Amino acid sequence: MYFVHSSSNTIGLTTTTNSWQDAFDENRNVFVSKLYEEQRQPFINWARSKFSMEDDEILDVYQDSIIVLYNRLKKGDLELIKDSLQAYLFGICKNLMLKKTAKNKKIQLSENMNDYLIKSFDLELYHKMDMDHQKSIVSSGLSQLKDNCRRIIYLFYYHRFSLESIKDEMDYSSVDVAKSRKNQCLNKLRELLKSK
Amino acid sequence: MSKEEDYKIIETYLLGQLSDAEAKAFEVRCESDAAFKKMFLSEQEFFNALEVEGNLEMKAVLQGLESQHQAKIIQMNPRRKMLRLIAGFLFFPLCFFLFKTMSSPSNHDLFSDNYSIYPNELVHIDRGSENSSDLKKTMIEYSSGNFEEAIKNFDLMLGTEQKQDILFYKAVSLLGEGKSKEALNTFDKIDLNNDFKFTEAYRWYKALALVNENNISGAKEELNQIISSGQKFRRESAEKLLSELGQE
Repeated sequence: MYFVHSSSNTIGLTTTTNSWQDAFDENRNVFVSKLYEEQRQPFINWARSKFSMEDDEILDVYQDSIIVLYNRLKKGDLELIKDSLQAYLFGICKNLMLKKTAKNKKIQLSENMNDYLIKSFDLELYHKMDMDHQKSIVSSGLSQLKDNCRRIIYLFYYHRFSLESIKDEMDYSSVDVAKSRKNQCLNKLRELLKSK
Repeated sequence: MSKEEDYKIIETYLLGQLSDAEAKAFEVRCESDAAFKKMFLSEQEFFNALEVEGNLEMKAVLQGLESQHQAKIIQMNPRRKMLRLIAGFLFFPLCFFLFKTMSSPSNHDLFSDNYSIYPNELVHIDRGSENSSDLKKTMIEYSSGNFEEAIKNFDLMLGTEQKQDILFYKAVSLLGEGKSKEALNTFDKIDLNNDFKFTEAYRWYKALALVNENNISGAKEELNQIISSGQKFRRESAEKLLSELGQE
């Protein structure tokens, strides 16, 4: 995934309307870049005031939170985003901070965090980052694919791009070509996995 | 249903694209058809593994954004900015001459504006893993922007054997350290015909190194090759950089 530099326009994260959704649909790369830049310092300031953590740990959690949010947005699953996107992002951050805190006893809470427990977040997408089983085999298969093939697989299966969007993104002449290339790449990957 | 059709409907289910009624029918079939269920579970595991891969790729991209952010902070240091302004004001005529003949600050700016680390595609970075390989440790250093340490480790790994992928990541790390001349020497050791996976990325980073070394014609040559290759990777960036270089 290639991220471009963001322009000065904001993406309406603090509003309760879904104005940010247009920005996401229009160009996810720009959206993620802007989101990262816009919320980075507010998040660091907030986390410093609540947790006794080093900045690099705070940034690690911040990046993981953006991944969780991205996974929800790409699936169009927005029912839990009742308030602003910023509030939702910070909610994820709080949960991940608590998870990290539980894992690492050295990190001290500077206040009672019970108020911040948000039960409705499904963090299983994030937990998948810890999954160890088949991933090394798939990783090895992916690394043997040509750049373009690997990219199509990521675009379709991870980023959930439609074939129409893949056609535009990869400069294919038609959706049929995109579909055919996607299937070829998937078959190639399956062949590689079978041989392992 | 043929096996191919089964794969198709499983994929559609896992992508969340079935209607509620179709999803319900799918789940009923899973319960009653053991072979289908087995196929589904295997596909689900495959999808999960792809999800993990994607998350790791995203993480590397976000770490790259952070590196860019840090680089911008260094660039925007007010004292340094002020010194540059004074120098520009006092020595503009002389600087203009030097700009054209020796070192061009705008080329350095172009380099800084366009450089970001290439995502780690060599090895998994398992979260919390204690038994990490040397390559894994090195790629963690690399992804965190600790290029000095990464370069040392790449050199150890290279030893006497010139591994293409390692050479590529070493060159990108050298660029991250601003050592574009050394990066170019490293790029020159890579054999593009030898089943090398990162050809377009290679051309992009080599072009950036050449820009930083004020070798504009060499950079343009690499950028034109990216554009004419028909690949999408960095093509828009290559076109943009090429037009900016055209104004030089």
